[in-house]
Amino acid sequence: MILSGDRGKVKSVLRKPEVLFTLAFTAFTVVILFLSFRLGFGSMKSPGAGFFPAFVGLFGLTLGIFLLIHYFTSKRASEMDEVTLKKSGLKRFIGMIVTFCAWLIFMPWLGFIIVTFFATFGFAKIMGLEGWWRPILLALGGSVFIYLLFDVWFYADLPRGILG
Amino acid sequence: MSGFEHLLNGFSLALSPGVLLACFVGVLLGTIVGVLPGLGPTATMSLMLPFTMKYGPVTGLIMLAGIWYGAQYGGSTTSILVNIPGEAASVITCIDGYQMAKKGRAGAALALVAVGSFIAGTLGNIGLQIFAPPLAQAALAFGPPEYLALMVLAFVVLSTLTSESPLKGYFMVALGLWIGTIGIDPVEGTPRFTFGSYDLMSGIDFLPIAMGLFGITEILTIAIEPYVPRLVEKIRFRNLYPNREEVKRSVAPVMRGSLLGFFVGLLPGPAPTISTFFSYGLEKKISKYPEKFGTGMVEGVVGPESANNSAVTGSLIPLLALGIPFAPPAAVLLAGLRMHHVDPGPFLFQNAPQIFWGFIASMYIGNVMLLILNLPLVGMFARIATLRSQILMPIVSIVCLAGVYSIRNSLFDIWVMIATGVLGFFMRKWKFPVAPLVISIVLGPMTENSFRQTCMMCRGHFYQICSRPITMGLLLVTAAFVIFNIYQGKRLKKALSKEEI
Repeated sequence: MILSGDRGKVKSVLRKPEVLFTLAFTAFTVVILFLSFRLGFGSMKSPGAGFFPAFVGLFGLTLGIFLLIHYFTSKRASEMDEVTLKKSGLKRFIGMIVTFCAWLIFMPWLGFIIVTFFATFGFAKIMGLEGWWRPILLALGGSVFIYLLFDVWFYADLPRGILG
Repeated sequence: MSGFEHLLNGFSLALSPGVLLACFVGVLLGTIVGVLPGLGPTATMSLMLPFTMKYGPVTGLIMLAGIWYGAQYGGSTTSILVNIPGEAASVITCIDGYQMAKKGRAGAALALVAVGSFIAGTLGNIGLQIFAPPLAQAALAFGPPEYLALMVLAFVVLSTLTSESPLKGYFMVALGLWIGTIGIDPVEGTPRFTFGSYDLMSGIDFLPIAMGLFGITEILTIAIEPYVPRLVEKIRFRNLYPNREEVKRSVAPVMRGSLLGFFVGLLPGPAPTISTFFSYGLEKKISKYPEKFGTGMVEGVVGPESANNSAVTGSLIPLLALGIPFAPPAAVLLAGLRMHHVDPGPFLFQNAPQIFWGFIASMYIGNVMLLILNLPLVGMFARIATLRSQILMPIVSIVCLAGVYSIRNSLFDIWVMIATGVLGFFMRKWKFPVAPLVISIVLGPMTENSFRQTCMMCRGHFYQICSRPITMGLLLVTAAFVIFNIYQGKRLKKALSKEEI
């Protein structure tokens, strides 16, 4: 990932994160292979629990190696696109993920209505909705909407937390 | 019971108030997401999956399919009016559609597209009604080797068509197939890749993954981009009259687009999008004035827009007749049906014909609804495109969170959704295709089952499948496709190196 301002380094960075991403996946296929053999391969006549995952792991490992070779041998590597993220974009990206996780962590204790209110407010502010009233109104409308939709209409068993 | 009687029964089901309402909600939502750039039909269908649980399988299927084909109608609106495709399948419409708008013919283009889409949707529906039952009948002869060969073909074609590098596509297939093996082994009862986690015992549910890859990824992608307000030209009903010349020039492209789209729809991959490129190329090739394409030729607008509508109906044939989805929205439909314990495929026509025929009838009705919605209300839909992402995305985010939780009351599913959403964001950036991953997750257990059964049938001697003509035929088609693809790749490389010289 390249932050704006580092543009001079673009050529030298090549597709490093993409290569790391593929490398991580490829390494993971080795883990799959190892675990599959531990599960029991069986035989071609009578396949065991690890038979199919082992094939999948082997297939993935072969592809991963081919992909990595392709990255390093491809002449056009430096022309491929890299993830360019402005700092403000990165802040919004992280902010959104943190808000998703916060909803998940606090929902069982505070209840879905309260957490949805704060999460909607957070999402709106992170996305750049101006002022305070508009995000508050959106958060209020969002939590009422979720309550009506899931609790009243669909009888979904969402925790109510401190609202009992 | 004859096909006609089945269809009449289907209409009696599709015209019941609840089903009619589901159809309307589906096509309305589809049109809206088609208009909105960003949020696509697959994300919306995943988002709506929890809601379909409250109703029966027919109602759920009708609503979800309505979103899919409704989005094809709506996608053209912003392509023509603001040069921004609401849908991937409407990218090509921008070329001549926007030029027509600049010449003051936006209303005519929108009206012709709506009528063309209606005709294509209806013709595609007739094709679905004609071809699906005999294919399902033929599929009764399919055994595990045939299904395995068919799925291999689907994976190969899908990986090649959805990615710049087929290697990345195959890699995603491997990942998806592995995810499908997580949980209790259906034969031996052994926990696989659960790492001692109770949540993983029942496997990873499809819905959080679909919502993560299509919903959360989209939200994150939109979040990092700065908001740019859109200005949309005002369209009134009285502006929608095309002239006689435009109507005359549209008839043949609509028919050609419908036919082409339907057959492209039978192939694995993003059929609606591919069909529009084929249709545009065809219209340009057979036109007397190919040089005028790109300057506002009506043939370049109505042909592709008709093709993407009939491609959707074509894509439903492999799903309903064979039980194998060839595109991500079809995979969501399959997941929806499985949630209702309905398995599409050959036995659907024998055991639950009302589902298939009710669905067919509702698609006829849905197309009429879309025509009514898209002609007089086109101005209103165009204004939806100006809806700010800062208002829409927070609501979509909380619906994703509450929706995933409501299915199994599982916090683990939400973790899965967030993780796959972040993973999907980077996969998109580094051009790892999502479609093969989604399809292979859905088909993973079926592939493993067919693989194991084939091994047992052949007693380990794989050459025995050569004696099965359908299996051999499918494997030969797969091999021919791979060879053709390698050959094309080499030709392209040569052409590029010549250009560089």
